Amino acid sequence: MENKSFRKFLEVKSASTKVERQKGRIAWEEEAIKGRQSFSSFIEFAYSDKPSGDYIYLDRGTAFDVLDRINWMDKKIKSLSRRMKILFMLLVVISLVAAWGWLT
Amino acid sequence: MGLVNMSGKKALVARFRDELVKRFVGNEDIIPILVLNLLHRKSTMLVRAPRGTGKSTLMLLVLKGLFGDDFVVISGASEVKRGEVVGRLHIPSLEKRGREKVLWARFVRAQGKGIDEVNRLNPYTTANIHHLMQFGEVWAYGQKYSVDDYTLVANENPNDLTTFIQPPPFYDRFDIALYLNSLTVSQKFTLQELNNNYGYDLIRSMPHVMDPEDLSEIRREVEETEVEPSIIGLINTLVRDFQACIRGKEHSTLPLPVLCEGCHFTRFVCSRVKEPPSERATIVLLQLAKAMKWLEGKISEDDVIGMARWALIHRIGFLNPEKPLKEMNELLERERERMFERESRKQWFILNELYTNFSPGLYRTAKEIAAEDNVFAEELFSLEEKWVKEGKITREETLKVGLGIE
Repeated sequence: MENKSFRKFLEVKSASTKVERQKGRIAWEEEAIKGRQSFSSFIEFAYSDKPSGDYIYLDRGTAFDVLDRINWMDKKIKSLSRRMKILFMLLVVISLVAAWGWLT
Repeated sequence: MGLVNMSGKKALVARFRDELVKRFVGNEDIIPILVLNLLHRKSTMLVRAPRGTGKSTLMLLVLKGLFGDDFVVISGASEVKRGEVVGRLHIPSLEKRGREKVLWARFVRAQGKGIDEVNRLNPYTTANIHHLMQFGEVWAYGQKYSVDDYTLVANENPNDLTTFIQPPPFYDRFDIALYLNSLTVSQKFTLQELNNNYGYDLIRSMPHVMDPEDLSEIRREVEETEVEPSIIGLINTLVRDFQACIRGKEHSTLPLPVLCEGCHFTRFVCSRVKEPPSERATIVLLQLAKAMKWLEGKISEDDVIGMARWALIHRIGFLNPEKPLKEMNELLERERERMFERESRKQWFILNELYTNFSPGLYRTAKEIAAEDNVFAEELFSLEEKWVKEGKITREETLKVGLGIE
């Protein structure tokens, strides 16, 4: 069903949106406003000590980077846990051997 | 007083507000919304507060200022009789002519109605008042009475132990719910001074500010007032934000927060709303926006978000219901930021472009936006349906399939 008032709302919002149309592309400029709400970049969030907004955005490249690091950490955690289990078993074996030696 | 011009009517409203402020100490923040809510037809409001914080005083001041002495207040009590609230049989007519003539109660006939301690009303009376607010009519002995325009002010103390648990749909019929706080030390001094000045009878001192004709004319003008499409859009989007759930909360038996586990949109307000608001919230907010536009000549998006607190608080079942005002304020603050993000993403512009012309590049951008906004996603879904029918995209390409919803 055609919704006239919704289309009217979209048209009014569009009319007040400042964009530039260039050869089949749409571009707009973002003004960097100093303030809580403007602070939403992940890099700033990670490395700045200033308070950020509640929402942080990732561009695709940073998201992949974060994903890589998470995967790397997952692998590292798994291998470290395996290593810890082996070390624990070694400790148990050494303790048993030491106990055997002490007893005999 | 019936024939006053436009500015004269606004002056009447301003005078009513001033007279109210002169007599009602503390809780100044609720006065503007209270006044605005009186400016549309069949206005209803609920005042919620602990005992002795001025609920009944506020109710009586409002009714006295609008209707003089021509209003009816019923006290919520489990033994309140049907005859006092709806109507009773006229016994002589029954005895002499065998006719069931109903004498309708003054409560249903009066334009100014008050209910003190609505939480104490028995379920039968609640059902009658609910019906009155829902359909604008009451029934007794098989006869119907249609109620014209009215103003209903009710109050309740949610901590009252002698309380009936009223059904949520009943509360939904109240346009706004106002919460009162107890008075600070300086405000207690002010109240004592006022009591001295008015001979310990604040209610009696309240003047009758406007005639029913003035009020009715004001309400007609407010109804005809037009607000900007951007404000209507904000109202609809705001309410939808509190309703939308990508996991079908409305028809799910899974409780929150189990339902939200692993959901992409958990940071949105939907994850803190157990029971979403009804469409009445949209209607009331629009009426309030019209009233403000009529009275002040303008209305901003911030005003709408400010008013939403009082129109939504009693219509929402919160996940954390312990401190409803705090929760409401926090959720509205989130909404304020969400609206800001929507503006930054230019998403309504992009949707408008897509409505006008399908463009694969913009569609890709819209899909990315939809992953950040479930309300936007819903609108994109309906456009996708159209494009699939027109053969512009395949069903496999759609966001619905991408998100695993279809």
